Amino acid sequence: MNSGLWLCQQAPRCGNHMYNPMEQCCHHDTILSFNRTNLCGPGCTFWPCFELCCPESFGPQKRFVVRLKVLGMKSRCSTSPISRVCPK
Amino acid sequence: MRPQHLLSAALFLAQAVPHEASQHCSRLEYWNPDNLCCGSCLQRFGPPPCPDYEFSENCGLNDFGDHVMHPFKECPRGQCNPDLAELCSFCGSGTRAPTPEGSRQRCGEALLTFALPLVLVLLVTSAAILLFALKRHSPYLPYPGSNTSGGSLVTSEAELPNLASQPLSRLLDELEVLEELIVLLDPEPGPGGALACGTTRHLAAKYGLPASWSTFAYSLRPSHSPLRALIEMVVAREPSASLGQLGTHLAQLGRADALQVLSKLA
Repeated sequence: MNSGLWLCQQAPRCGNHMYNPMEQCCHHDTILSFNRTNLCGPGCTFWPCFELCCPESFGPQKRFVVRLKVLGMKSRCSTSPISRVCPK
Repeated sequence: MRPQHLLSAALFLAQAVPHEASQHCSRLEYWNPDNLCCGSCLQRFGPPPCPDYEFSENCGLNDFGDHVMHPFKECPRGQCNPDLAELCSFCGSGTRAPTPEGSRQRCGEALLTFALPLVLVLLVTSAAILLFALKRHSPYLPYPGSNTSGGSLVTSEAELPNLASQPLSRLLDELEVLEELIVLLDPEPGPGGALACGTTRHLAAKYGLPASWSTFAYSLRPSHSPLRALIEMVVAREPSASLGQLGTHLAQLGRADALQVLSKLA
């Protein structure tokens, strides 16, 4: 059992586990820390807790675009605002 | 010479295998390095978005969770996927091998259905901006009771309704005003930065965003402004958000200078 600080409110669940929303987020049923980064394409990093990595492939050009997650909503690549376009 | 041969061989192999397959999962799954399990590509990305596309190996993810390739790719020659299955299959009876123009036209048609409404929205937005610009060029008449001397936060009640009726998204189109607000509200790094009051960080808190989000937004600098990210976030979450609401928050933060810049849009 985690011996960390007990929260005075119901902790959110991620999959089958609880997590601390002050330090972590739930990303595809996986608990990640806020400072976690991953590659979005070969030349770009993104923060999975705060951003979406969106592959865009309309037309012959394929690229990755990082978009902002909208807090409080289920974010989607088609509607979220662009944070930056990743270089190829 | 021997090291050069080895180097050439290594380079050749690297080119021949552009994406290293997962060490743990099958082709239609991806490795989750945090949960130490294989996840379903179909569950994460949904089916292929266009006919005659299939999942890339491990949907383009490596075993570290990085997106190294697009999750989908076109069917190999001679294979089809008209039913948006996970993988392509040989074109049999009832299916035909895709022609490059055909598959691209189907995806292009989808692009058109997105592009046309977007063009209409852009036209309407441009017309609205033009109308506001024409209004702004009319002679300015100071409202009675207005008081902006000495950086006072008191603004006339006549100004606030003008801002309240305008959407916050307008700020994203008024780049000059937005740039001025960015300069005022995104603090500069350095010893004085920590002493600044009423910054974008505090504004984000006014909009109900946690401190962790502000920390993330500030880490995007200098390539992306935290204020712009905040405005985009609020507009996406609450399309009905108004400039008046922003003005109220700026007043509560004691930022008369930013409020004065914002009042240019009134």
